[in-house]
Amino acid sequence: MIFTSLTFAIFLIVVFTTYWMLRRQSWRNLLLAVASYLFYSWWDWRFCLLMLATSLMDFGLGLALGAAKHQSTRRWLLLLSVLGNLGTLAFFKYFNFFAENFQVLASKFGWQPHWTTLNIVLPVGVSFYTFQALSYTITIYRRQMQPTGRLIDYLAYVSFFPQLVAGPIERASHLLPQFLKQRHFDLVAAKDGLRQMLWGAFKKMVIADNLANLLDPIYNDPSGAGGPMLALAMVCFAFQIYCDFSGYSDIAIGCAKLFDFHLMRNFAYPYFSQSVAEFWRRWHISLATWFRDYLYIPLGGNRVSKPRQAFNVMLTFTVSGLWHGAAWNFIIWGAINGLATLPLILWPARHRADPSETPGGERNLPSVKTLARMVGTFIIICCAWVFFRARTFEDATTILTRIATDLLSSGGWAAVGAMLDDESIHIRTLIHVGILVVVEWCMRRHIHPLDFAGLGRFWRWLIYTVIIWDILYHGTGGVRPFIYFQF
Amino acid sequence: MRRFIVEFLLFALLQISLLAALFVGFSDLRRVSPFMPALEIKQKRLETASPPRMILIGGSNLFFGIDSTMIERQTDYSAVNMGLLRGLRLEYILNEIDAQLCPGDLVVICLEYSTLNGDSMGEEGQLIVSATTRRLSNLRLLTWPQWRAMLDHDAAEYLGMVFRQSIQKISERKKREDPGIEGAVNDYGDLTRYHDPAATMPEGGDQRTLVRVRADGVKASVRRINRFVDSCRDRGVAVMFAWPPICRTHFQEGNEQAIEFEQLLRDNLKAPVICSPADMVFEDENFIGRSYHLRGTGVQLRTQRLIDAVDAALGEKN
Repeated sequence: MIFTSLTFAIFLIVVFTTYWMLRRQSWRNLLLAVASYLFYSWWDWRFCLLMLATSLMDFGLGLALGAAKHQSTRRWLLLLSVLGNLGTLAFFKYFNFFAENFQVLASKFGWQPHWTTLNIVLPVGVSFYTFQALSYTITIYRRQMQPTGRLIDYLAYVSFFPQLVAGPIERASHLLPQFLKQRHFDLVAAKDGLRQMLWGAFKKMVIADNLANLLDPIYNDPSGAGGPMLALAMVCFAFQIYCDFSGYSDIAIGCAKLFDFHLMRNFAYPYFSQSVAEFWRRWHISLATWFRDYLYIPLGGNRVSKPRQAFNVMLTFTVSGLWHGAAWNFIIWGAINGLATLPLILWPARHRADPSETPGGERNLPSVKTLARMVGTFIIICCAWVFFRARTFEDATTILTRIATDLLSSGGWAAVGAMLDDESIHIRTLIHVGILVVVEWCMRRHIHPLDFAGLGRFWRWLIYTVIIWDILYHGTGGVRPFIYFQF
Repeated sequence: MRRFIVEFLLFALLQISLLAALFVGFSDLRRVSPFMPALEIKQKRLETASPPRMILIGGSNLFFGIDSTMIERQTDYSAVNMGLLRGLRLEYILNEIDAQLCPGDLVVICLEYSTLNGDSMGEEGQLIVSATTRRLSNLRLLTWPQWRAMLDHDAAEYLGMVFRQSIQKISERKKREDPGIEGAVNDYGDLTRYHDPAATMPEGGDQRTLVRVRADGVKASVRRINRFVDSCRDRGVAVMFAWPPICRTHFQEGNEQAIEFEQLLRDNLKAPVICSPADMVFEDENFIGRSYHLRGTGVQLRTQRLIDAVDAALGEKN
């Protein structure tokens, strides 16, 4: 069930109404659990069985961890949870990748293993809910919270439909207590939630999906495109993936607010970052902090020697790349980001920008120096995205080489002009990208750009109407799934 | 909570009113699907024609290429031409008549080759939404997958399309000359505009009639038709299958495909196949625009061949 579909709108209205009609908290949690499983089964009901199995395992292990007295027992229980969750993930997501690569490696030594890869369907969102479930057992292991004995609440926590398939990846210590406390309807939060959902839908349906129509043919056959066309596709993908994924997060966070849940912020205007390290504090915050807390810091974080710290950074980013997909392109993408982050990790600036700070500084217009930093960071990020989006490593190198050597060719720019002339929707989409940048810059002090509760009703409703009509006119109907569903 | 709901409903009402005003004033559903208004004429005919009826079901090959008055003159049946658009797909086409059948009726299935294959045209969903918005009772004809597709994306796409066309209509300086179908469909559901031999169609290019056989698709269609045939037999309704018209050039190019299609149906279909693809070959000049669409004398020729084939099949049966 895709957030931008009529199905989801009906589903949400029914669940929202029923939820607030129920008085008892336990009934509300039961409703959320059932609704979330229904939501998930819309893709394939068999996926629910896998999620239920891993949830039950972690629920049981959580109770056992809470009851275990000896540290060694606790360690074994945690290991069991890690192996169970990551084993599931490894089987469904990485089995074929490792099998294929092992075959290639073995053949270099003259050994031809005769196994075949399996026809495994990747359950939607498995990477997200697996990490969320893991956070539960790790948190209990660290004695940061007590295990819950309420199965329904736990199932609702793991499967909570707004963030089930593409995050934000919540920590048990943040989200689970919200299931246990009494919830009340919050008018201000609910209205803000709807506004955030509207902005997310705009980004997804008007910008991301239309950009996909522009750049997909170019990325599918980069050999036939000139440098300017490839550069356009490269920049467009940066905005496509941002609008797609942050659009999803906005809808998820906004939707949760309707039920009096507060999910963590996932994006904080990342393209206004002035360094790659800052970018990673503003992009997919829930995953970046997950890896920071559960991988980077346990490895020693920045409390170790500089070479070891560099190794930790590279390992964390590479694993993060692998988390995104079972392909070398993602690993390279992660490694590039790691390399680009290293200088600032090893020789940190005096001031470390935090996601809650205003990106790009407090001035209405950025200084030349700030602008140069932002553009430079954006270019590095764009280059890394090429590996993320390209079908193969060869395609990615072709794209980057051609951009570097052929960017100024007049023929290439003429081809871009001709393409834009042929398809007026592409020009309108690029204008929307420009509008997005301006609006986000102006509203960057706010959690999301439609955070204007103080504005008069007439103006608010006018803005909503303009956005809704823009979605109707330029939107693609919401057919295209969100990019991060595949992870 | 109450304040939230009231404000939400007020805003929703405002949007619905604005959109309704826009659609009533400027929407041009003919541009979405120019033939769709004929759906109501056909469904009315199905409901009111006196039994026994010869009900022709299929796509636009019937809409363009049948003269129902000839059927009524030469047979004892009341003619009902339900053929409209192949994009509505087999499931909908069968469901549309299923509940209305009565003993003594004769159903002639005349599906285009691509419909037998189950090939997608990419616009099926929007046609289904268009058909259901024209007549809400058509919602009962939808299967669960069609419902699901409609809710998941087709309805939103359709709404967007109607919205865009309404806005474009406002911004157009010159009114577009769109032929529509007003006055061009008779009470039986036949499109009569092109029965004139000199008629040409203003838009639409040549489209390959025969497509490569997809045996899986054809077998799935045959299974569905066989279920329909079984259900009809229980109710005393006869079912026959006839091939759609095809122009000589395309038939010669795709002769082998036609043989394969025919063989698959003759081997698997429970209903009698009353003609062969070769029996429905017509000269190229009998077609306009898309190659399933007959015009002028082609319409009479095809109708006559169909009547003869039905007569022969009924004679054999008796």
